[in-house]
Amino acid sequence: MKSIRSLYKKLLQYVPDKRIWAYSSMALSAAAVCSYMGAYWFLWQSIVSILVIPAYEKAMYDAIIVVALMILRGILNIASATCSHYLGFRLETNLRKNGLHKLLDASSSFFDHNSSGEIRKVIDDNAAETHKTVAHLIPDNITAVMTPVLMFVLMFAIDYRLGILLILTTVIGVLQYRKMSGGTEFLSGYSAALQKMSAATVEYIRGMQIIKIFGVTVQYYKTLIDSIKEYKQYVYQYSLSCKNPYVGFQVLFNVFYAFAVPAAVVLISYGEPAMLILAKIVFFAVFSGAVFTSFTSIMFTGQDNFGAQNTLNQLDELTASMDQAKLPHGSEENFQNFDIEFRHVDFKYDDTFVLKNFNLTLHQNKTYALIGSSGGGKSTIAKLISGFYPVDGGEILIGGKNIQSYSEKALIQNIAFVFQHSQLLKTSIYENVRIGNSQATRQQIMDALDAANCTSILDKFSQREMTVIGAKGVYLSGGEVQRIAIARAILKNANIIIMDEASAAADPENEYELQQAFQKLMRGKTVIMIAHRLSSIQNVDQILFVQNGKVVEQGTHNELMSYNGRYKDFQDVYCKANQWRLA
Amino acid sequence: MMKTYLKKAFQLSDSGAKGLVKSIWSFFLYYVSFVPPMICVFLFADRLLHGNTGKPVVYLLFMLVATLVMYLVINYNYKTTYDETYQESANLRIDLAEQLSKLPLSYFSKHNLSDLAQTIMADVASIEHAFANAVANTIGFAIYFLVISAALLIMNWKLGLCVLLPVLASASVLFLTKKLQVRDVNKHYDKLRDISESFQNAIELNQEIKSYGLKEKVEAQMDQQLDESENLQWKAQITQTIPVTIGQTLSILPIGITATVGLSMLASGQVSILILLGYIIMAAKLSGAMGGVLLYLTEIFYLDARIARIGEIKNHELQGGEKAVLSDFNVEIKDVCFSYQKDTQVIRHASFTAEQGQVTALVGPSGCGKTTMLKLISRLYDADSGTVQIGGTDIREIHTDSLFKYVSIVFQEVILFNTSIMENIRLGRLDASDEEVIRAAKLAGCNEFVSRLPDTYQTIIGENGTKLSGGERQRLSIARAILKDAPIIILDEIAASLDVETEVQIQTGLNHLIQGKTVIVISHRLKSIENADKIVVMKAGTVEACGKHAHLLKQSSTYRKMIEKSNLAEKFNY
Repeated sequence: MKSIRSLYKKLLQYVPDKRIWAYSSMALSAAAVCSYMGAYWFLWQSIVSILVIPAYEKAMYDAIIVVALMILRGILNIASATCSHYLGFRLETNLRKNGLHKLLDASSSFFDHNSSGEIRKVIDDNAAETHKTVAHLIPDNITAVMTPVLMFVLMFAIDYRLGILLILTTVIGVLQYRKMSGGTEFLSGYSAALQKMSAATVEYIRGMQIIKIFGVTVQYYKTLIDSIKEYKQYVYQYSLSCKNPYVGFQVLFNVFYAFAVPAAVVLISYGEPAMLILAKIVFFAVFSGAVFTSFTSIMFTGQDNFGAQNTLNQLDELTASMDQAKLPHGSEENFQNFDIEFRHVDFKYDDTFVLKNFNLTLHQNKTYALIGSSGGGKSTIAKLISGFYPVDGGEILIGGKNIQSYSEKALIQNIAFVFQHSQLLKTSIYENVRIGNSQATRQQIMDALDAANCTSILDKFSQREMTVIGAKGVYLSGGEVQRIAIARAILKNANIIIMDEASAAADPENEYELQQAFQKLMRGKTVIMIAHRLSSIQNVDQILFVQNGKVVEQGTHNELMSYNGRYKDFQDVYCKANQWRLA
Repeated sequence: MMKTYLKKAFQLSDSGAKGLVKSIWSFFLYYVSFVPPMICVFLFADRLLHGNTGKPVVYLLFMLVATLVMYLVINYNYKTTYDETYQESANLRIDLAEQLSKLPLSYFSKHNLSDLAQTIMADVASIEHAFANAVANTIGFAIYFLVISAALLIMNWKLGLCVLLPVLASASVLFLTKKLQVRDVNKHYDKLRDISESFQNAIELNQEIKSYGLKEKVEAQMDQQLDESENLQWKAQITQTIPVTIGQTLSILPIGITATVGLSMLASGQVSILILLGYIIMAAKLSGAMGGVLLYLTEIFYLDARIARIGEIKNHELQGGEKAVLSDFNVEIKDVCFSYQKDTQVIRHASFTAEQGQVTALVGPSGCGKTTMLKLISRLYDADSGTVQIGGTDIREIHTDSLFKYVSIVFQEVILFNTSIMENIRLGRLDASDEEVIRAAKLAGCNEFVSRLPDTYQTIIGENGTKLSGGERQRLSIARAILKDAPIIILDEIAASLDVETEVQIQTGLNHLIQGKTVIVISHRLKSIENADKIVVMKAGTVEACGKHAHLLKQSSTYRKMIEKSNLAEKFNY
C-alpha cells in the first residue's frame, strides 16, 4: 500500500494541476464498485422474493434494478477511465517534455556516456509505459481494494457463515498466489537464460554478413539454437513451478460455493428454513463468478504496480544523471580577450583520467594544431574549450575568467566548432546556414556559402540553397556536409574556432575544397585545430604534440623537425603511409 | 480444417498448429469442468423444491469427485498449454534463425541490425505470451459457448436468448469496432514514431543545438508535436475504451435480464422456478468467463501486426542458385544496370573485367556507384539487367554458400564476435590449426598487439570486439581473410576510418593478402592504387574509362581532375 502511495505521489508531481482528474477517476470507480455490489444486493433481494416470500412482482422490480445498476456501473467505469486516461495522456506528454528539457540542458559529456538509442528508449518508451499503467492503475487500484471489502460486507449481511467461507477461500487463494512468483534462484537462472538468448540473437543477426561470407552458419546457428532451447527449458520449468499454485487457485475459486450445499443440508436438518437456505446457496453460486473475476484482475493489478515502479525508477535515474551533467553558466557577457588557459585541469572518461593536472596557455589570434595518436587526448582538449563539458578538477579560463562565469549566450556567440561528424538539420541548406546567425541577411548567408566553397554543391540541385536535406534524391557526401557546416560557422563569425580537419579521407575529391573552406573560417581568429593531414600544418603558429594527456612537444614545424622527436617520427610514418602502394 | 486455418492465421509450424488444437480442446475441457459444481447446486435446488433435501454425504462425495476431476482437467490444460506454447515459440525462434541465414545479404544491410534483433525478440515474446494465455483460451471458450448455447436454446429458447444475446453482443461490439480501433491506434503510433525520430534527432544533434543556441526552437517544435500526439491519443482511446467497456458491461447483463424476463415468464407459468434458477446460475457463470475472454480478444487484435512482421521475414524472397565448382576466377561485368528504388538508376550499363591475379581498382567521385558495384560483385544484390560472371558463370546461378567459398570481402566496418581472438580469426577457415591461425595473424600484423594482451590469442574480446581499437579490429579481419585464402578478394575502403599510424600497420598485411588473387578494391587514397593493373573510372553509374594510371591521366578527364585535386590537397598549407 505504502509503495503504491509513493508511486502515485511521484507520478502526480508531473501533472500538479491535473490532480482533480485523479481524484475524480478514483471517486467514479469507487461509485462503480458500489453500484456493482448494489446490483448483487438487489439480485439477492430478488432471489429471496422468488423463493422465500414469494412475491414475483417485487422480484421483477428488483431484477430491473439489477440491470439498471449494472448499466450504471458500465457508465461510471467509462467516466472513470476517461478521467484517468486524460490524466495519463497529459502525464505521458509531460514526462516526455520534461525528459526533453533536461536532455537539452545536459552537458555534452552526458551524450558521450550514453548511447542515443538507450537515452531515447528510457525517455520516450518509458513515458508510454508509464501512462499505460497510470491510466489503468488509478481506477484499478481502487477497484482492487474496494471490491473484496464490499464483497465481504455483502456476504456477511446475508449470512455470516458464507462470509467466513468467502474469507477463508480468499485467504487460501492469496497464499496460493504468493507461491507463484517462484524462487529467486529460479528467477535469476531464468533471466540469465533470457539474456543469453538475446545476446546470441543480436550477435547472430549482426554477424550474419560475416557468418555467411565465411560459411560458418552451422557453428553460430548452433550456439543460438542451444540458447533458445535452454531458454525454453527454463521458462517451461518456471511455468511448471507455478503450476500447482495456479491450478489450486483456479479449482478453489470454482468449487468453493458448491461445498456449501452439503453443509446446507445439515443446517436444514437442524431446522433452519429450507427456502432461505436455498436462496443463499443459489445467490452464493451466482456471486462466486464475480468473486473469481475480481480476484483474477486484482492479481494483474499487483503486477502492473510493480512494472510502473520499475519504469519510473529508470526514468528517475536517467534524469538524475542528466541533471548532474548540467552545466552551470554565469552572467558575464564580455570577453576581455580570447586567450585560453587550462589550469590544473582533470578530466575523466568513466573512471580513467584522460587529462590529469593539465596546464596549457593559448594566445588569441594564433593558430594551434593538435596532433598525436588517437586516444592521446587531443580531441578531449578541443572539446573542453567548447565549454560544453564539465571538468573534474581545475579550471579553464578564457580572457582570464573561468569559462563557467560567462553566460551561455556569450559562449555560443564567441566559440564555433566544426567537428568530424557534423550534422545538418532536416531543413533547407539555406536554413541550415542561417542558424549560424538568425539576424543575417540573405546576402550574408549566400556569401558564407560561397566562402565555404559550397557553390559546387548548390549546382548539383535544381532548388539550389532551398534544397531540403534528407529529401528524396538529395545525397551529400561527408565532405559536403562538412562544408555546409563550415558555412554555418563562417556566418556565426565567432572569435574562437575549434575544428577537426578529418573525414576528408572519406571523399578525397572534396578535400581541397574543404581545406580552402577551413582556411577562410580561420582567418583572423584564435584557432585550435585537430590536424590529420600532416603536410598541411607546416605554417601554423604552434604545433602541439599530445600524448597520454600531456603536451610533449610544442613549437613550429621547423623547430619540431629539427628537434627530432615524436613529431618527426609522426611525419615519417605519414610519409610512409603516403608512399605505400597496393600491389 | 481448424489446423490449416490456425496455421495460416498465426504463421505456425505444422507441429505448432497441432499443439494449438490440442491446447484448444484442453481449454474446452477446462470450461466444461466448471459445470459439475453448478449441477450440484442445481440438484440441491431440485430436491428442495420437491420437498426433500437429499443426503449431505452424497453431495459431499459428488463435490469431491467434481473437484478432483476439475483439478485433473486444469492440470492437464496447464501442462498442455505451456508445453505447446514454449515448444512452439522455441520452434518459431529456430525457424526464424534458419530463415535469416537464408536471406540475401542485402536484407541485413538494409535494416538496422540491433533493432532488427530486438524487434524479432519482442515480437516472438508477445506472440508467446498471447499463445500461453489468449489464443487457445478464447477459441476453447468459443467452442464451449456453442455447446452451452445449443443446450440452453433447446431447453428454453426465450431464456436461452436472455443469457446468450448480451454475451454475443459484447463480443460483437469488439469485433465490429476492431477496424476503427486498430486504425486510430495506428494513427497515433505513426505520430509516436515521428516523435521517437525527433528525440533521436535531438540527441544526435546535441552539439549543433548547443553551439547555435537552438534549444528554444527545438523545444517549441517538439512540444507542439507532443501536444498533437496527445490529441490523437485521445481519439484512439475513445474508440478503444468505449467499445471495451460497453463490451464488459454487456457481458455482465445476462444475470439481470434473465432474472427479469424469467420472472415475468414465471408469473405467467411458462417456466418453473427450478429452470429459472438454473438459467440465472448459468448466466452468472458465462458472463464471468466472458469478462476474462474479452481482455484476451484485445490482446489477439494487436497480434496481427507482429504476426505480419514475422510473416514478412518468413516469406521474404530468397536468392536462387546452385552449388558450383569454379576454377577460373576472372570477374566480368557485362552491361550491368541496377537501381535501389525504381526511378533512380545507380549503375548504368557498366562493363569491365577484373582479371585473375591482378589488382583492379574502382575510382570516382562519391556517389558514383563504386560501392554499389562491389555489392553487385559480391551478390549482396542482384543486377536488374546485364550479368556479373565469374569464370564465365553468371553469379546468379551460383548459390551464395558456394560463391562465398571463392570470395573474401573485407569491409570498412569490422564485425567481431564475443569469443577469443583465435576463434575470431579461425572463422576464416574452421579446420585451420592453431599454428595456421597464428601464421595468418602474423602476416596481417596482429602479433604485435596480441602478444601484449593478457591471454594473447585466447583473450576474449567482448561484444563485437569493443575492447579493441579500430586498427586492431581491421588487422583481425585481414588475418581472417588471409586464413580463408579465397581466390577473389574485395576490399571496400578498408582504411577510411583509420588514422595514419594505424593505416601503416595494416598496409603490409594487405599486400600479403592479395598475392596472386583477383583483387577488386576501392580506396580513398588515390596514390595507393596508382600501381594497380587496372583502374576503372566510374562517373554517375557508368564506366568512363579503364586502364593503367599513365594511360588514364591522358584519357580520362575525371581521373585527371581527381589526381590534380588530390595533389592540391597534399600540397595545401594553412
